[in-house]
Amino acid sequence: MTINNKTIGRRNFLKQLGGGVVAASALLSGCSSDQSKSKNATTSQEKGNGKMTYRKDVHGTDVSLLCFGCMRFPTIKGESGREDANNDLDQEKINEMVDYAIANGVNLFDTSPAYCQGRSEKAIGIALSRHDRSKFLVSTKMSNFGNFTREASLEMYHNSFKELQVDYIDYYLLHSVGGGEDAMAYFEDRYIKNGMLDFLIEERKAGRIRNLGFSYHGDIRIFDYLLSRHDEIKWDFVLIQLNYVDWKHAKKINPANTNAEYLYTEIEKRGIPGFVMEPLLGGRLADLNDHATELLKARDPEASIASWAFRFAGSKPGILSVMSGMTYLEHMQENVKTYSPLQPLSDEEYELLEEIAGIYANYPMVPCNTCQYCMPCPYGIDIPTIFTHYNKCLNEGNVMEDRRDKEYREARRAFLVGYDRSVPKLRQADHCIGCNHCVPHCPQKIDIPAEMNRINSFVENLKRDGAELGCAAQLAVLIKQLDENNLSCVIRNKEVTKTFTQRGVFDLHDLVAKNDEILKGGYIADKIVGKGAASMMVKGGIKALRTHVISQSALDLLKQHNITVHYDTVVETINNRSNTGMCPVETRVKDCTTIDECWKQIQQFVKEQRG
Amino acid sequence: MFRKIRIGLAMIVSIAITLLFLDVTGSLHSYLGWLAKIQFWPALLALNFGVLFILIALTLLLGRAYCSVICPLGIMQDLFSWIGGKVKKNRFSFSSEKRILRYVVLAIFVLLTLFGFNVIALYIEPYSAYGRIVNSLIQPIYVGANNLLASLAERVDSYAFYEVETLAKAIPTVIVALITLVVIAFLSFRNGRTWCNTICPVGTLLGFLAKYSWFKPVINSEKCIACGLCEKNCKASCINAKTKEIDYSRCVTCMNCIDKCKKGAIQYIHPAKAEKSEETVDDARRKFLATGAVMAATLTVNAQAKKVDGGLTVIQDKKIPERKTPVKPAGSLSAKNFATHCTACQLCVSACTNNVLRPSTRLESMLQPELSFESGYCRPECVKCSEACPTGAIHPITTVEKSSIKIGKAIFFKENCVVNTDGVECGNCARRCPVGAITMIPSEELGGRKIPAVNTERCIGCGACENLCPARPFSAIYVEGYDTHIEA
Repeated sequence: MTINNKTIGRRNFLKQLGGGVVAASALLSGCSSDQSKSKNATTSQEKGNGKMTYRKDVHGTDVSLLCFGCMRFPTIKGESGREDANNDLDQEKINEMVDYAIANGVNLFDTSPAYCQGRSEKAIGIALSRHDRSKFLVSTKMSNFGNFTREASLEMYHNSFKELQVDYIDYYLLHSVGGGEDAMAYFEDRYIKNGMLDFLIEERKAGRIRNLGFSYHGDIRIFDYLLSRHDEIKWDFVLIQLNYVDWKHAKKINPANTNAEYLYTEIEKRGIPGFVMEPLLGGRLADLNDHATELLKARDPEASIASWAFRFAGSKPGILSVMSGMTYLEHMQENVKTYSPLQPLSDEEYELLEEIAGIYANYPMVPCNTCQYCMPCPYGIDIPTIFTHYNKCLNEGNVMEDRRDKEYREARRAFLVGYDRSVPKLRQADHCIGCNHCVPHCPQKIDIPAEMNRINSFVENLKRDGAELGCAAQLAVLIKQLDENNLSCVIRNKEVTKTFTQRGVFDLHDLVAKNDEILKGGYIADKIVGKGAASMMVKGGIKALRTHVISQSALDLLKQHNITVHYDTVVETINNRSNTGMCPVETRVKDCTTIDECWKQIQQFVKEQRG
Repeated sequence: MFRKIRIGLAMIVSIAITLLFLDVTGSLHSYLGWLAKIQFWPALLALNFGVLFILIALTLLLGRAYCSVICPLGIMQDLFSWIGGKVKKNRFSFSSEKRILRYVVLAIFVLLTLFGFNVIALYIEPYSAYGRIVNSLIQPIYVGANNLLASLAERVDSYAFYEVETLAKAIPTVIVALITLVVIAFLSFRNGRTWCNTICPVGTLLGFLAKYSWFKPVINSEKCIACGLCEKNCKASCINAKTKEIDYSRCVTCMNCIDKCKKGAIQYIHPAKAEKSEETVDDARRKFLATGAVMAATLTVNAQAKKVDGGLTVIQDKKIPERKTPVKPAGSLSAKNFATHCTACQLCVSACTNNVLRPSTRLESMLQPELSFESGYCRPECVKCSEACPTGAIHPITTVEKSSIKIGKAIFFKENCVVNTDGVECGNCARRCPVGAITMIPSEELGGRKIPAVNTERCIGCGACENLCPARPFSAIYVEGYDTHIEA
């Protein structure tokens, strides 16, 4: 690492940019937020021209609308330092990017003791120490996730000053409140019981913290609670997740989240300026599916897909700055361009983005923003990369289950080859043991083990590619499908699969009544099978059954008719739903001796029930 | 002209067979798999009478054309011999047949095979010797090249090539292959087909038939001026220019002599006018029939202190557990059938895309493949090894049969289980078992956390549990093979 290599860093930087852009740095101060609304904005295609849009914080300080997020610094191998732990951060590249940012009017840098596996603060500290303290604002956080004792938290706080080489911090945040299994208890552990919140408020009074705020994910009660204490605490800013999808469709993307519209309105009406995170929804809004891309390109063929998301976030007047984690200078150039100056969205453009958001929200993506908080998985699974691959394939139309589809073969190859390429076999979803270690760490509240299972089932299907398997293997697939999707019954016969969700015997009754072909020689998975259901399976002519629970009489009946049965438990009788007596169907067929007698009883029962 | 046809065919066949052994995608077998099946010794072991009949008929018609255009080891020797010829021209001379050596080697080879000591005999079986050379010595280079292309393809987002992982080659196989290659390269570089005409059991066997082939190179003694050019260019050392005689049991009908003869005195025709050979027909036929009859009878991963932001846990490599009974592929019927038919050609090892099959290093089954599950498991829909095997060591099976043949059973080892060592819930073995043979049962000893119980009636020994078990370096559940495979 080149720690004090000011001259070389600067020379490289000059070489790369040429004099013209550097000269523009002279213009960087003095722009007010008013200018951001000026009509004579130059087109967004122009390179950073020193016309960065600024907003004013509660103290009247000018803050650039673009904030350089320091969680994805490059390593010497050119990877993002967030994932790449084996290689050192590329200090020279980081210096270059910081120089470029400052030269182009970006003055806010956001980091955390946790970023880049604990290396981010030091790196940005080195890069910023080469600049005048008045030229930049720095933001960092109390990231006491694992160890939240007062001592550890204080150490983390003081260490930030040392690493950042500053004697005051412009923006200090309670990092990611709203997480944990019991969000309120976790919040109290981290900030109340150890007195850290009071301590930070004192630090603000002492001037070592200029602005105090919090970043929020997850449990909305925490958000409401912290805002309810605004009069007392006086938050200087709040960091929220905001983008055009989360604006109105947050719940659809992730049931644990809350619409950004609500979050924004709540802070705006209290006059608290907002910082934005996830303007690109973990990068997913930089690469939309073909249909959405087409719509945006039709509107403005020159504008990048990502620039729309940045404009959306920046167009909200209550937003102070939009954070973007950047690894490459190209990212920086592109984002600087978008905000130099910001062209606020027109009403029409809002509508267009709302339409895109609607398309997006209906895509069954895993709502992972690759924040890496879940990592490292103790069993070595590469969780974010698996999700990224799955989402990418979904986006490109390569998640295809129907083997009859013309593009199935190509999609299958792309998915499987791409899967092995992006994730080593040992780190793929089938190695997830469901220990749940990751779950409480996910700010998006994704049920990671369940998603791993779902993705793995999809991969298994692709690998099996419709191969006809032996009896036990067929049954194992069906029971997995039954359990994972919480179905009541699954039947498969050759290439045809039918799934059912109704409880009771009705579905089976209807199949038998219309003499459905799927039963003849079919494989069936069920949760509970009594004599009534068993008799219908015999009548329908099934080949094999897999069930969790079976009654002794049902087992005898099926064995008598040479039907293969795999089960977990045998019970004497099956009770009704309220557990007050025997199941009504079972009562009826109890004394029947033949299949046809059973069938008559069941028919009568169904008729009565349907009235 | 005949020579050119021979060379052309030989090149096509040898390239195709080599590709068959190199292929890492598993896609060539459906097109080229038959090339392994028409090899003489594998066909004999598999009692593939159709192929045997055709090969015998071919030899009775054309002579030992098999040795020149079908046997990959023979073609490889021609290559080395050709290089030798570039160094020194006209270098061969007639030598008399080492008959006793040939017959003794053949007899030992046949007896070993008959009495189930195939594992010793297989070292000199020509087709498998070639297979081992390609699989152990050339495939690593091929895989390296493929992976280079794959990384290029990845950069341009193409799926045309993809990276493949292969198991590291077992040292004994590499050593055997290397010795075979060195010996054969040396012999053929200096003396052409020495190996084929002294050691190779298939060569000796076909030699019996070739004596009576319909077409053969015949020297026209009227045109012949006894210049000796043919003899000096006969890589089989079977032309005696002085007596103007050819030993047809050693001639591999390469047609080089015909091309070399400036007088056109050698023709590839039916020797209607040719003199009778010394041996009487009856003698030779009796010998052949006798041999024919003999043959027809035959991690614990340490949950590391969590960093807040990213990173990957280092994963320890799995170690191979000590299996009392080795696991053999589905379709091999029984350990005995496998041991007596497998010539260790490594074609199934090449075909195994799940990195499960590898040559054994056990003394009693040296080089013959067995299964292990450190890098993958025997997937239920894959029957590639059974399709590839030319010798009947692995019989062809369908995916339905595959997923119900019990080749072994899983055995649970609580000491290694992460439920025990890490105090977590797991159940990955049960969740991933392709036949649902594992149920999770609460263990009182472990505070009610669940541990696996294996239903051995249903377990097929595919190794999914062993492979996907998080315990490292030894899995908490591993597969013991069955001597005899039965359907579940």
